[in-house]
Amino acid sequence: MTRTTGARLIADSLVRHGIKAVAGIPGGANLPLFDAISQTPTRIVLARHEQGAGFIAQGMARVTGQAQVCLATSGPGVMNLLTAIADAKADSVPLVCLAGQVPRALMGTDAFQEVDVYGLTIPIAKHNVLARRAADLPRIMEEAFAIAVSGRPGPVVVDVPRDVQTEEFDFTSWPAPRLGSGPAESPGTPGPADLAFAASLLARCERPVLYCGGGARGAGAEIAVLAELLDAPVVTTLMGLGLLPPGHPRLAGMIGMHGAPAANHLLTRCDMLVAVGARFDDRATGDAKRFCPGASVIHIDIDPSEHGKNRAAHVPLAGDAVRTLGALIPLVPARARPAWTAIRASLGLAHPYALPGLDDPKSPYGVLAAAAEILGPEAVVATDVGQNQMRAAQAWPCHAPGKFLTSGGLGTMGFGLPAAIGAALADPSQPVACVTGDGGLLMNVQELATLAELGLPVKILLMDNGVLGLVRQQQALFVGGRYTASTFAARPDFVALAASFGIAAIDLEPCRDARAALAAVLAAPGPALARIPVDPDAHVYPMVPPGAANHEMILEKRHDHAHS
Amino acid sequence: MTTPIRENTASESPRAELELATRDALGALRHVAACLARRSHELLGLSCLPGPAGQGRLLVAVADDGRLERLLAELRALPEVCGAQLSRAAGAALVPAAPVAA
Repeated sequence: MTRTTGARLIADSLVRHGIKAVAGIPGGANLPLFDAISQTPTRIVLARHEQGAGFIAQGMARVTGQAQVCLATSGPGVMNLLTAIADAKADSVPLVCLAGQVPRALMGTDAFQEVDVYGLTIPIAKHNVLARRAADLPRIMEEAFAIAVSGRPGPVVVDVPRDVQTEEFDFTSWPAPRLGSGPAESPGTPGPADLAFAASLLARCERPVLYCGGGARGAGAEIAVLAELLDAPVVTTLMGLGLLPPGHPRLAGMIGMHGAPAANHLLTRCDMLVAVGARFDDRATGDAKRFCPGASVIHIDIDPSEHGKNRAAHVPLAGDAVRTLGALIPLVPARARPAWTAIRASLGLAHPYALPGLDDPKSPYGVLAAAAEILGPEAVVATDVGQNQMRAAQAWPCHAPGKFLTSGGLGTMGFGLPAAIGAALADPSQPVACVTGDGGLLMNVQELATLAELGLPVKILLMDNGVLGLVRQQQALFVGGRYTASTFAARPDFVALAASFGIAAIDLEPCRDARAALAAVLAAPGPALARIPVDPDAHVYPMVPPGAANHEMILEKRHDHAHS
Repeated sequence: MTTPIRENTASESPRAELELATRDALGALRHVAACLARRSHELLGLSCLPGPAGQGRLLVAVADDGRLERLLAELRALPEVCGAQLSRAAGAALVPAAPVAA
């Protein structure tokens, strides 16, 4: 038995769970916690805004696949953290968010910097808990880390009143965590009857497609095996990028709003859709009623509440993707499907799509291709949200899960820079590319100070077009070309801005040899920013209009307003 | 064999009862209310009954609009909930019964 305090117990818990760094900002309600953590090996990263802290922790979590930690004080501190929590829930990212709270006696009195953290985080966290006694914290912390990574990962919020942090108690041992009762938290393998039924449907189908999302992370080998057995193509969502490496013979590309045309057309022709760790998100499916209209569906998902949410499945299989596919594969007979192969080939010929400017390092696609080639296949890229994100999804060759960090579900502008910092914290030996726009960078620009302080090799590729590009694109295509509130009249000098933070920066616009300049930026130690000017009217194509079916893509120069 | 597009259709029973065994009754109550409110489920009645050692039982009467299986899956995933079952018995009322298994 050891006499300890709530704050020391939490700090010990972080060490126990292998947390090497936490990101946060101290305040009145979490000072004891910061003080306790400072006395452990866990490194404290001082962010400049709590949202930045949340995304730094997300960057670490997305790269490592393990739960990571962010901290905020009560009231405005935790309010600033909410977007990062919701973002983690949407993309199933394991986080433990430690919030300071006013002392217990002040709770409910509208005290200074008091908000109802529990109530605020109910709809956006996987789990939330208010620590009412320090003696409860061993169980609470064990459960927080277990719940964050179990089943479908997600953010867990632990709200700790200041006096609970300072309260002393006798610590005896770490208890075993209690998890939820549903199969989402303790997934097994689907039953043999369901697996046999799925296998029988697979044996009979003629035009199968494997549709894989972020939940298939880790199951790339099994996906490839099943695709070979079925002679089937594999398409991915934005969150599934990297599941199979570029050039893999089974990989047919990304589907969805800005997906590859041939991949989107494949879906309209398939008679069997095997969804693995994908949730039929509207950005991936387009009009859900016209998504794979003639297909039977086998839906493998660890979260049974996803089954039937957006699309009914003939065979819903609840379970971990690796284990479920491992049980299914021995039941599936190998069969060549030459007619389907021929159809796929003809669709590829009928719907080619070449990204423009790939060989020009001063163009938005070209700079991405050049940076990816220079950095190599091990590089991690973190994107912001908008045109820069979609261009990166289309052009960046992603070689493994956990290498392409993007806010897919919530679509949070401002994600890119702090997420890149987190990724570099997780592995400082590798440069991390941060693909961002001027709009998104300005939404968490204060984290340039954090980056400069840490000296991490984050290489910011800034697509500077002076507009909210994807908003402007939608206005051009669907709002009659009326560009309301999407143009920035004031344009910062981003090179000077970065320099003011002590970060090396270069404008590629005047460079004669932009590729060489880019290579120098990427090779130099520490952080750097490269500005690439982008035409505000350069659209990202293909584009499925909101509400349209995926095969109804707008292609460049095919729309009345596309270049107005 | 094509997959029917999911439409929310009411079953023959106009209402159903969800019975939840809870570890943290107050936490479960707030989460259940949030789950119902987010998707505009029609709440017909709710009863919270005490159980041994901090456990409790929630009985929730809701309109059966064809979306309850997913609601049940969501509620089962809550750490505050240690058991959940759905009853569509016609005329089912909010009467105390033996707790569902924890």
